[in-house]
Amino acid sequence: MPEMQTSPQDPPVSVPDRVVNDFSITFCTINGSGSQTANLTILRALCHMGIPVSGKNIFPSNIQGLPTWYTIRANRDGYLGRKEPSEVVVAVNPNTLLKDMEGLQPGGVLFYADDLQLPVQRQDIVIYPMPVKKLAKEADVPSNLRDYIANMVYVGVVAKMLHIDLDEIYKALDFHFKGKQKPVDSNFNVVKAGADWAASNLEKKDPYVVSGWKILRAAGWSMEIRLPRWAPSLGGCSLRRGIPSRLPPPCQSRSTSTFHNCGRIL
Amino acid sequence: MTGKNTYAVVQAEDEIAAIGMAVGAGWAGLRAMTATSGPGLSLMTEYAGLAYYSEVPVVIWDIQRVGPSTGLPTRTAQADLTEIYFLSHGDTQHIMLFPGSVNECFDFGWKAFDIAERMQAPVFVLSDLDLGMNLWMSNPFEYPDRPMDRGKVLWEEDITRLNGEWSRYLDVDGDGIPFRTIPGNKHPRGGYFNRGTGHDENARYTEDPEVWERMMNRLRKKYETARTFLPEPVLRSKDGAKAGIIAFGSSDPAVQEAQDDLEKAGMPLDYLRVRAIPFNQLVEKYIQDHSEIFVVEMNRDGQLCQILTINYPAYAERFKSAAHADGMPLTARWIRETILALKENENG
Amino acid sequence: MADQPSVVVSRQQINLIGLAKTDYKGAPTTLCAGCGHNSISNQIIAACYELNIAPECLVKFSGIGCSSKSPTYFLGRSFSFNGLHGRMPSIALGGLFADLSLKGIGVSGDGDTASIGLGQFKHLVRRNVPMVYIVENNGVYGLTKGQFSATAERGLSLKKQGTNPYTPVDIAMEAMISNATFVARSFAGDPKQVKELIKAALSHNGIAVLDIISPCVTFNNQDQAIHSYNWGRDHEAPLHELSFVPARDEIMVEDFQEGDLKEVTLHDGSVVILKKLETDYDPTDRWQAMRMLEEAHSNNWLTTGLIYVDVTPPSFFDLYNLPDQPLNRMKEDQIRPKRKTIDEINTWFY
Repeated sequence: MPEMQTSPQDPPVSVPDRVVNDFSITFCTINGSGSQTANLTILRALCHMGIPVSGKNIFPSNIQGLPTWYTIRANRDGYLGRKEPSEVVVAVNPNTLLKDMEGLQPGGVLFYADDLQLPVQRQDIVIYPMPVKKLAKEADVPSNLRDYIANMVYVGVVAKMLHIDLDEIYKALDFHFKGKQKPVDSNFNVVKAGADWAASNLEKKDPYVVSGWKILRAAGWSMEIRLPRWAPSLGGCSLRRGIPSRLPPPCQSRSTSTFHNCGRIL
Repeated sequence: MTGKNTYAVVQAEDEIAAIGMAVGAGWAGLRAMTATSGPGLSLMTEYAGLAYYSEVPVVIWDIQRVGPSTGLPTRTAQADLTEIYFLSHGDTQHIMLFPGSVNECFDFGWKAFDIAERMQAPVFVLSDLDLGMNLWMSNPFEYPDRPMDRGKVLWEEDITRLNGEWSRYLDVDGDGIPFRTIPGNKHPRGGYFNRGTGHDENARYTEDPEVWERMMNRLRKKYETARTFLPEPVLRSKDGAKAGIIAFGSSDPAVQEAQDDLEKAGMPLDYLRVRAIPFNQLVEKYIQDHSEIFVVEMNRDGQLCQILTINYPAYAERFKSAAHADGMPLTARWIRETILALKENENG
Repeated sequence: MADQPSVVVSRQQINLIGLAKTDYKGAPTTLCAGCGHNSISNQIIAACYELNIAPECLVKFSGIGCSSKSPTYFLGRSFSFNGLHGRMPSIALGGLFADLSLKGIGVSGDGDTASIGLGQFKHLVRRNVPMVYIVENNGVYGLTKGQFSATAERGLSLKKQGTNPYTPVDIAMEAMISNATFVARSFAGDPKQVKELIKAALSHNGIAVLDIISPCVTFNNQDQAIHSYNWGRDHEAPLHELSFVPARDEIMVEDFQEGDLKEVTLHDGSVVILKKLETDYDPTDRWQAMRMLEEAHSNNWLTTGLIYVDVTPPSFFDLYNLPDQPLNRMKEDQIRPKRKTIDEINTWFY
């Protein structure tokens, strides 16, 4: 069991090997920087991996410049309401970096753009730098699009470190850009660059991963699919529909009341 | 088929014009809706009263966000309930729907039209920013499972069959809902004068006190009829529960999680998600069956709790308000801790 | 030979669709005797009768005010919506989508259009919604409810109000600025002109704004004793008799020809100067129309006649590619998308 180094007074915090499909990740970005594309891409990829997810956008009331936070919660039991604080934080906004860092609980994970100075030192969290500016600069895009595409660096790094399926990332980009090959490719190339860099330069020190139905099935897990009464029958239903592997227990009725009839109007 | 449009989308210059166009269209026999949020709804108040009193079908979606005033325009809330409940001067009663998921938003999208035309009244659908502006996992949308309900409408042949004798605001069926005609009706006895001023059964101007009260009482009776036409509440029960939660709308995932957490902690609670006002009679039954009821909502003053208290004053002391609003969606933890604190307050 | 009782057969005149003028009437008026609005109502009746439009093919809209009450007194068979103060345009726009074969007649007043309703008025006009829009304007000389109307001249003096410091809203000019495709002004006491203009307006495929000066008899004032001073003087009636509404004769203008200037004294003693447009005035020249209005303004004239018309722009509904069949008569299979559409919609989502 890996041990986290904390301050001398605190006893070592023991962290389980893996926390699968049960965490929240918050992306702390600047509104209008193109992060929406990046965040929705990750959300869509997770959904199509068969993982129950929700995405909540906390955005400011102007178009560009103020901070935006996007929180994705993955939960294997299908609990998708807001949960605070997030276990994982992706920080690329210098204006909120301090607060974003301070919000992390011990054992939390920080991905940050390495051109930013970390305002505090913390030994009780896992910290992963990301060469966002560097890789964006190296990307084969016109200079005016460089800032927008920079967010794809964190998509790649986070995907690699949390085991998000890169094929699904690609498909999500394809959907977002409506199949237009050029933007799909330029964006995915930056994703790949980020993922490759992470593979070569980062060592996984945190327990948070996602696992889609492909991997679970390969690992011999039985897929108990419980669906609420209102879900259509599976029969060949692909994950394109976003049916998660497990959902909260379906509506139950007590006694012989007519509560079954959800939504019936005379 | 013909290459022609059987719909129209008009961008109005402001919310007053928007609701005006929708009311004009609804009166003229078209399914009409508009969407807004808090400030726009405030502007729509006068028209809401006109539509209520002159019995015009119209659908208004309120995508709630934090007020009052400009407030936090990009943050979510469930804080327009009492405004809509009491909307417009004088005695009004409004039909309100509370979708709790993207699927329900789709369903209520078409159901609201059926209800509006059946009841000849404005229907307010209360969604919120969390539901309306985020991407959600959902089931595929389902095609409507019943024919369109256009309500009680008389056309030329109907009036002919009645020998020209019909009245716009007459309760013929005992449910408070009269028959209406629609502009374009060619029968010489088809037309009538729609007005917000006092009118009798034949839509004629009157200031007669008895007639006024008769009209208003019929409107109240009509509202009672609405109870049976609206989406029923959804119950999620736990074995051994003596107390319960009432909530509505997009807080559903967090409430379910809190309910499960509390059960694990040895406090099983039932959870009733209301989906319409006027309340279905099952809501009253639920209140009768539970010793206390935690009303969970995203506003400061416990608006649903207030409305429940108004509707069920005999059970007032059972309602415990678990309400707060900071612009952020509710968390299961906040719900759980608040309920536990409320429980402790009564014990300690 | 027995005496036959004489039978008088009164034969009413009928128009080309077999209707008599009585078929176009409404309820008896409850507006004050001598009110200009009553005259306008009569000309609406006459115009519709003469144009052979069935009442079922007309829809009436109005706001709030004395003018907006008048739809009760004409076209009793037609559908009507008496809405909210200043908000009639939006109701009309929404309502007229339902059946494009219906012609809308909107009746408003100077308060309803130039004060609270100025915004909706201008947006209705800029959209060129095809309807007749009549402003029964009794405020131009400033005595509506004892308060200055938005259309009152600057410098106008009222006994209990002082002097109006504000410049007036000129409804005809506002319509021009908003690119109205038909602008006319008239005087309720010139019924022939009113009728002709209403007929032209009904035939116009676009917004037709008629600003009709309509003298007020009582100024609708219960609280303050603002009576006609001339009347009071002539009849030696005490000024504190607030509730008495004197029967007035309607103010008619006789012998008013194109190009003429005519001074008209209204019930309160104030004077308006009407100028009828010349026969050679070209109403299709927008520049000329604007200049003429400015000139009239500086001379303190109210120009009557057809001020401007442009038949070329499409009307509002022309832009919507709507079917010929009325939308409000369509059946479910015509308006509800087919079942397979839901499958298509579901593919839009990831």
